[in-house]
Amino acid sequence: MAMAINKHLQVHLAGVGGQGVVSIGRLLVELGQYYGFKIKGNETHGMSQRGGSVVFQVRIGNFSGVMIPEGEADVLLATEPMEALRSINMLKKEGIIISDTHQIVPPIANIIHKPYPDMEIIVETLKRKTINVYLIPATRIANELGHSKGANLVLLGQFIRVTDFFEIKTVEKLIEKKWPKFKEKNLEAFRTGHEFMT
Amino acid sequence: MLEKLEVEQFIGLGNEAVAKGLLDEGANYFSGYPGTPSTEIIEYVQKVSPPNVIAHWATNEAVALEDAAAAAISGMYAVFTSKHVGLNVAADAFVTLATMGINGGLVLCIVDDPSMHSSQNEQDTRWYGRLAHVPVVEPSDPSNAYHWARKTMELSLQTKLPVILRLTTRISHGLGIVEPTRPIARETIPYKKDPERFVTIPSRARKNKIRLEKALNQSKQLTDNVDSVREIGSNSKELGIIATGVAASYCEDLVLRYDFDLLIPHITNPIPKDMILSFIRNHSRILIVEELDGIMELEIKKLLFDEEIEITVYGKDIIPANYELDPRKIENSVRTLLGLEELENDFVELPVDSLLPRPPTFCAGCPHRSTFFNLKKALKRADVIYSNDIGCYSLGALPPFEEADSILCMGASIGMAVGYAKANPDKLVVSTIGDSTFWHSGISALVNAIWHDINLLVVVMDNSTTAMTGTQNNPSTHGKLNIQKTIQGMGIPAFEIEPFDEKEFISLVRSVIKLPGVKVIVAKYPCVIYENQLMKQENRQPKGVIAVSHEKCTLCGLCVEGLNCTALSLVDNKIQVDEVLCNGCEFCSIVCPRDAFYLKERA
Ligand code: SF4
Ligand code: SF4
Repeated sequence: MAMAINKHLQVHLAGVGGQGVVSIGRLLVELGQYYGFKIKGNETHGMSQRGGSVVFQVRIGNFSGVMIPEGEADVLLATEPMEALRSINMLKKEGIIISDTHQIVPPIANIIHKPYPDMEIIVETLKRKTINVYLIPATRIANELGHSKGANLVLLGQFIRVTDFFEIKTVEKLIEKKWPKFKEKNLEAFRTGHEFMT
Repeated sequence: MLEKLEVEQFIGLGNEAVAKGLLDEGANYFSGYPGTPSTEIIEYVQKVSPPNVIAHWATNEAVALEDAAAAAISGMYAVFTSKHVGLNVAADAFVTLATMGINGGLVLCIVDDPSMHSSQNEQDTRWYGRLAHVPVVEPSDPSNAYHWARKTMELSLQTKLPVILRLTTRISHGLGIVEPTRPIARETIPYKKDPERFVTIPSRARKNKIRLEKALNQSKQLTDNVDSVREIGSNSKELGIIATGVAASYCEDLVLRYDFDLLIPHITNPIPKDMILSFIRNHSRILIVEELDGIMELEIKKLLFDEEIEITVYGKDIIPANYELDPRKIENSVRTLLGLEELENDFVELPVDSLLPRPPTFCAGCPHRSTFFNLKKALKRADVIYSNDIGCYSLGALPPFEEADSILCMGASIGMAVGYAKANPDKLVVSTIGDSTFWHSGISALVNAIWHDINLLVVVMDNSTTAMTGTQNNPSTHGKLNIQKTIQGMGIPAFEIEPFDEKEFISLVRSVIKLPGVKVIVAKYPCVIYENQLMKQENRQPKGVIAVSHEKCTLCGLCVEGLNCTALSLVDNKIQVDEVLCNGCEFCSIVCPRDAFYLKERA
């Protein structure tokens, strides 16, 4: 198990208010606690929750501060590609990027008459930071599974596989415990994301 | 030290750690006004709702503090919570209360918002401790916020003073493991009249001032010891760093890797003089790291002057005073002082136009969006000054509505209207304000406007909840007080209308502005977030979702541009509906000139 080698993991989560960024952020925090790590983190409240950019940071390991210093995140986990780009410089060189490919056009685009950035430019810029870029059509997968709110769990599945920091069984148990009502759907989304090969 | 208990540790927000700490220290009375980033303290207490503990919201911060003060004077262990600007509202009560002191305990949990994530200014609450001559306690991370919250209540009990627990966004909304220690049960001290102290006519107020100085001196003795500071390092390095608040936690992460010693004073008013002096004497250069103003720096430099100590002190000359501190920048400042090269950042430059802004917007189906839409349409030919206020409807300032000439502070939409009207007699002044803000301070401003006979249209957006901070209750919730009736009681015309009724709304606005004097329209409809919460509780079915008939749609753009509903977007030359976001309010269908929208059942 990779855990024994790694003593810390810093994850910067980014997305749009309402996408469930906070839910998976909280889940990572609880996982870290379950494994007996010291945990720090921070979450966005207030204004930005109204459809704005949302950030959640998790620091697993021996940290005091709640903020990841710029350029130190091991993983950038994004529920929206442009939000991955917005946070790119939080990531360390050759860190890991996992992002949904589903674009959410901010309503303001219709007013300022600017198009959503070209996906190729986004990907190319992300790759200038690292070769470890994992893009997943998480929203599409979730929709196909009939679980439109489960895209964040698809991404979590991929995260668990790529980072190899936590054991999948433990994660599944925690998902069951946290949301007993949507247990099957959530686990299905999580497992599909786990198996997905980019 | 309190013995460690087999109580379960939990992961919590700093605010939750604070609430738990205060409860464990015997706090039994909580009053406050919601404000990001302070709201979760009272919400936590309401959620766990321990027996014999009162926790409620008040109409504004001044009232909340008066409320908590009376409980503390009556021998209870009270807590007041607000965001930084809230203490401005409560400052009148606060400064005099300090001179009277209390009988039980009183902790003021004040959360500053450096970088203004959700605020109209950033101010440093530590000045208030100096203004009112009361102690200030500062945790440095969400985990130790538990301990320092307890300590703050203890300090209040010892000194009989209200004591400030000063927090910041990154502590309050930071997450950490909270390890509770043994709770204490406290007996409420029976109420005893004491007019010599509590009736502040001048002759007695003068005595109160002396008592306050004694109490603050007493706290100097109580706090200038090892229990109020943390020292990390060997105390033998050349560079010594004194850091406070959240900045201290960033320095803690550096102290293991760099050649310096760290002193963290957790009680920062009055400063632990002896502890600081002895630390300084062991070092040849000092760096002071604090977020916002250089208050410690000022105090420490005064101390050095008084003690005739000559030493190099760095502070705000290298640590920014604006916005929240960035741990990476602190690290680079430390490196520079130690003669190391700054860390190089593999900064990726973003190509031009590769990022669109993503500001917050009204929720899909928010009644405020409709109100601003209607108002703009009704007044398109009028020369209007829009006096806006603080709440979700502040977003009316942004495109496409841009219905805000100013946003100053709570209630100012109506308070400023008098000045606007008198200075601009040729213009129409329109104040837009929400229900909670109306009860907070809009109501007294409205009395002033009526009294001064100005020509003013007030639009109260009554969505029955304090929405911006996450739907806390207020006098409008569950119809406890009715805004229209309250205003009618003041003898002026007040009308109630649903914001989704576009035509009626517009004709009402156009006829009402012809009336002389002050007139009010109450745009009444529940906040969708609040409504969805109720729907779940009451097991009601959500409304359907909207769908577009692409044959009928001519792509005029009114729904995406003019209304700008979050659930609608223009993709591949088609209007698309985000069915997760859409709340089925049908307002897009009302404004669409081609009747291209229709409601369908939710999948
Ligand atoms: S929280 Fe309520 S009031 Fe605020 S934008 Fe959303 S629907 Fe509107
Ligand atoms: S019905 Fe129309 S205006 Fe209302 S939330 Fe849905 S898309 Fe937005």
